Amino acid sequence: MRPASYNACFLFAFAVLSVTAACAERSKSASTKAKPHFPELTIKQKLQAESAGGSQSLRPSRLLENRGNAEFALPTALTYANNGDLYILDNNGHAVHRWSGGETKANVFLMQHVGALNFPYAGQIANQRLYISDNDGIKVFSTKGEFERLIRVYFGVFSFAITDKETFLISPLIRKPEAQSPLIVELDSHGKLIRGFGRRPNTHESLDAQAFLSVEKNQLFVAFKYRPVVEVYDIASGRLSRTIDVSHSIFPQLAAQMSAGSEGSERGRLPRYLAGIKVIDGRIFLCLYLPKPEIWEMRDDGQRLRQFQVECPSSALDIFGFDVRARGNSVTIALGLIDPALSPSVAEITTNLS
Amino acid sequence: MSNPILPKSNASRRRRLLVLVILVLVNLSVIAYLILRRTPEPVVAVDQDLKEIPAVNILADTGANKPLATLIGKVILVQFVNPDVQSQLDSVSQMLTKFGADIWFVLITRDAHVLRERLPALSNNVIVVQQDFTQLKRIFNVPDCCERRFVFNEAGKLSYNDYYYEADLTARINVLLHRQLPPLSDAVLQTLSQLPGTAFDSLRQRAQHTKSGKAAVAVFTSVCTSCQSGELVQVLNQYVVKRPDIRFIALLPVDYTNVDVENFKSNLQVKFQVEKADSAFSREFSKLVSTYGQNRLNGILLLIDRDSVSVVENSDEVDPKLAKL
Repeated sequence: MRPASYNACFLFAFAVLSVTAACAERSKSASTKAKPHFPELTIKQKLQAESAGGSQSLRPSRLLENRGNAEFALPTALTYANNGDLYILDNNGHAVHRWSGGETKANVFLMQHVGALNFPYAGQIANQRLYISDNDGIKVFSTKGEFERLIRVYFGVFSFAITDKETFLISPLIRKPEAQSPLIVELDSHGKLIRGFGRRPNTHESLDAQAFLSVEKNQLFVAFKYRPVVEVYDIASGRLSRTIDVSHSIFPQLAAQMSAGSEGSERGRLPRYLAGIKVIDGRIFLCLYLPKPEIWEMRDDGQRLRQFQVECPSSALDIFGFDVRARGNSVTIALGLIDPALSPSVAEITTNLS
Repeated sequence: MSNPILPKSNASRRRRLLVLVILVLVNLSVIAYLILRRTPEPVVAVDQDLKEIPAVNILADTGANKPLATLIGKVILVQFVNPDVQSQLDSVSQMLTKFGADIWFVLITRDAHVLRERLPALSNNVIVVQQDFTQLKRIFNVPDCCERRFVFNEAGKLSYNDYYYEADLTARINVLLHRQLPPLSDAVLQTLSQLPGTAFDSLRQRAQHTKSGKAAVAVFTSVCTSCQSGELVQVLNQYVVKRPDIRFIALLPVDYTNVDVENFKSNLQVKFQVEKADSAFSREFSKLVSTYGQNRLNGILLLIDRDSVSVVENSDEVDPKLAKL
């Protein structure tokens, strides 16, 4: 062999050694990365994988990914406008992003210095206005983003809905609820309390009173985050008219396995069941809190018509938003997701009504 | 026939030797580079429960390379900053104005250029870091989605961290800097004594003319059922029944409208008197808030007993102190 060949061999061997060393270094570095422990996600993933399935899987038709075609800090809610624009509330970013139909990218619609948003948490669009609850109360903006007024409500707002009489129905967060504290409060358009109704469980640090709301005609649909139940109230009387049990095959085992776990706080032990509800033309669309989010389409008497899973790029550690928009015979569904790396994304799925 | 091979062979050997020497030198350079390349990388084990300033080197956007540990000796505020989030920039500006050169600021961002554009004229005690942003996020256990702040004391121990939920870190940093602030109750009483003719003074005078001469005034900067302030309203509602001899009053911020006041009364089913603070009181109260922090001032309870005024700072003290009044 000629010296040059020796050297080529030496260089080759050296290159192999370098690559190996670099890989080893990378592997060592990766091994130091602490793996986040999410017991609820792990249990749900296992149960969902073991379940018989049978659900149809749908892929998102559009996707917003953080640091890709959107810049979120920590979003907490989303809501559709009638024209198909999707508004995404960024809690830590003190901003609202708008994702217009046909656009590939979401743009910042409202920033803190424009409307003085202070940790926006929940939002609704009604009467050509955008209503946003934040740490100051409920703020009203025009659809052009002009700030109109602040309604100081003094209730912590988990979620809210707006009736055709322009009253607010709120699922309130109460730090120390009393026996007579209601499940739902109704405020007039100026934010003054009209009445409260519904029985509030007041157990598990009041978590099981947290509910997503949807109004249709004279009915209020209440989907509980920490209970697999939908309650339907007659808005005029405030009376509970019926209860719909959401009987997913994994829910009984989920509750048993979560309560058996010894680690974590109360919040960690209580499983999350429902992630959102929307009722359109007598059809209930319900989002189930699962790593592969599952959406049920039901008649308003609770009879299930169809169920499907959403194919997401990664498991959903959290589902921060759910809304549905109907157009003719098709529906568009928006889902806000947080993956196990705590990175948010928004998926949009279009499908036909069953 | 002449043989040109021999001299050519010698020249060839020399050339081969030269090539070999060059290649050996190149290899040694590569080895040296690979060894040295490792040192500035901030590779440390990730600690889910960060307790002290991590032993990492940071490369400032000015080119200066510095181990974070060399900053120990002063209070260090490490802020992951998203330059697109105005509230985060405001928070940095506020702290810079208040603490100037007293503390180290390490601002870690994915875009140092934009950050400097939006926070011009940063002083020498502010280190802006963009290099290894992702790895630093991992080291400080900051998720992809958001930004966090970390306050380390003079010994480099972690004193506080959050996701920007608490707007104002002033009170926390004041404690670490051992600033000789008077106790909160003394500061409040001194402020009140310098405010003759304001809303509080008027309340005090009215209380003095009641039969018992006793009143409890809760001063709010905001109220919400999911916060401690909402809980205080519930407690005071209960005391209205238990202690009819005490006059209970809530003082709301000056910028609240009459509708806001009415909503406060109806939504929280307030059973006691509600008034709005005047401008002079609000101005002085805001100064206290900026020094001691909103957490300690919102819902502070002032107890009036004839000529004397005392301050209930802590929610645990509300019951025993009202019982004693």
